[in-house]
Amino acid sequence: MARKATSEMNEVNDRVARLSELISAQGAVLSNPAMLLPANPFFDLAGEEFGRRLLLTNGANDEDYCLRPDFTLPIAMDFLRDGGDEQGRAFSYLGSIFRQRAQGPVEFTQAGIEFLGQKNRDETLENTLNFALKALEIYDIKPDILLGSVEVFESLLKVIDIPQVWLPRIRHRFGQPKAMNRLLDRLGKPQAPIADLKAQNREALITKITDQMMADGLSLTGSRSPEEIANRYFEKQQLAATPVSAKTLEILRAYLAIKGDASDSLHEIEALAKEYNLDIFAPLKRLTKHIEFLKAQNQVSSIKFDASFSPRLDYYTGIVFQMIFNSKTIASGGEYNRLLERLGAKKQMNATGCAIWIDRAEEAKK
Amino acid sequence: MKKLVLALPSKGRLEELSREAFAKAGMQVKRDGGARSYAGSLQGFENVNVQFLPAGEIARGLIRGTIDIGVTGEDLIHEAVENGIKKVELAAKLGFGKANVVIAIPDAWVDVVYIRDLADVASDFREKHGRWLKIATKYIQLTRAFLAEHGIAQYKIVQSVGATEAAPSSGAADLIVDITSTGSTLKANGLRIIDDGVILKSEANLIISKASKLSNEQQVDLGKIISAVRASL
Repeated sequence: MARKATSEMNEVNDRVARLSELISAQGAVLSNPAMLLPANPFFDLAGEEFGRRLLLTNGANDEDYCLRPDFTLPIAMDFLRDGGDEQGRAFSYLGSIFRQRAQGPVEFTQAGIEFLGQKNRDETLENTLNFALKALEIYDIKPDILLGSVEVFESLLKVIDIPQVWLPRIRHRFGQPKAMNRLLDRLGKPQAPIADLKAQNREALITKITDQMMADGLSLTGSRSPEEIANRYFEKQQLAATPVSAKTLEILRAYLAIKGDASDSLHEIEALAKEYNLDIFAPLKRLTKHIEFLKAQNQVSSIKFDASFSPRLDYYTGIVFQMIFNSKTIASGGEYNRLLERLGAKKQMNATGCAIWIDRAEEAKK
Repeated sequence: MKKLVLALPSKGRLEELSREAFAKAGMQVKRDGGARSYAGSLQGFENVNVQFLPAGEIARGLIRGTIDIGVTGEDLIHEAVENGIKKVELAAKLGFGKANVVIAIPDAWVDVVYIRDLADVASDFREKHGRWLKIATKYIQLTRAFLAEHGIAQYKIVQSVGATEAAPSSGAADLIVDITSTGSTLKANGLRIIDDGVILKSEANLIISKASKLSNEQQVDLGKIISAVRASL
């Protein structure tokens, strides 16, 4: 028994050693961000839903700190603090992250890679996918790959006929099918107009709202302004009068329902684009190219596409992926070209990367 | 022998009404040392130890199992820890201490009537103001679960320790989630409850801990107390 345990332990260590070798072979700087990090940047970036998964503690200065919940954010912040090299840099990592689960806090081991500020997006995405596949190969895992494309969806939003105000709201529900369906249902139904405030013009309504806010002791500038409230009030009245066209909703629903074998899905999207004359061919071509790349890799078990799949964080931009084995996500990543700007970069900079859940890979190995 | 621990709220209307509920069920609760004492006894039950504690403390004790049975608000169980409600059993609704946990917005937000309006506002907020929509509350777990259910993710909770209703006018938050029984405090602060914004209808409950371990004798006492209270309702 004891001998078996030792040999198993040796195998685990051997795999970690091979993984470390792979990580250093990427020409990336091995990064080791602090284990204890200020919590606010995580809340600012990812909001309350991710925030609830943090293991928090307080400093005596009343600042909140958390145990490292992921590597991407601290690596990206360090990159920017060091000047955000215009030529781009690559970073790799292997270490512990901490998340709250329903059954209490858990420590996980993650390995991964981050390409920050790289110029060639396609090459970088290929390198990322390649890295993930090679890492899983160490664990004898031939994964099923699930692809999603934020850029195809975002370009679809640009070419459909819909009032501008709805675009961010639809975009924010991408990756949340239930909430998306509710919104699309709402947009299609003529709604009962909201209470008539007897203020038919905008100026009169703004005055009325301003008076009420002042009477209630609310700041006119600290939160939603009277103008903002009035604009949305009239926008709602307008939607009640003219709902979003049935055709637009049909396109959105048809697109979001596309899923299955990646090549079949591509054909379906192309057919949809042709039928409704939607110019989304540039991002589609790019997606095709990466599907072809994955098809040429022999350590891939299957390639699927789901048009409604996306991480729920809105800094994701291009192609996103998960690598799945025995219905568990072992690796996930993609392109997040809005991340660095969110963190204060002066201009848009590309970012691509992935994280591998080492504990799940080990589990699969058993 | 370890006594069965029964906890009742230590002060105010909740204490009175809890003792009345037990009296109506034929069980007199005695607070032997008067209002300053935290210990009491239950007539007819020699092996029951009555403790008078703050309602929030009762909720935490029930979840941990240091209290076997007690009277407190359902809202406090939810708020004590995430999934706290799974660690207790609600044995009887007592019909008092009624209050709702609600989402309230500035009344001047004339465009917001339903939760779906709030979803739009949350989506637009960061773009317009460069920060997340802020919600002040003590009810962090309930708020997160409710908003997640409605697909709202673009917000940040500001933990409030008291006078939550003042948060919008002080600028600490844009809206609040708070408990209210009549709504008059909200109204006085220029706030309005969203039409479908009731997160929890709470009232005082007789609650049993699932975490405490009871002897057979204690089980018998527990069963008698529950049956008597249920029969009197």
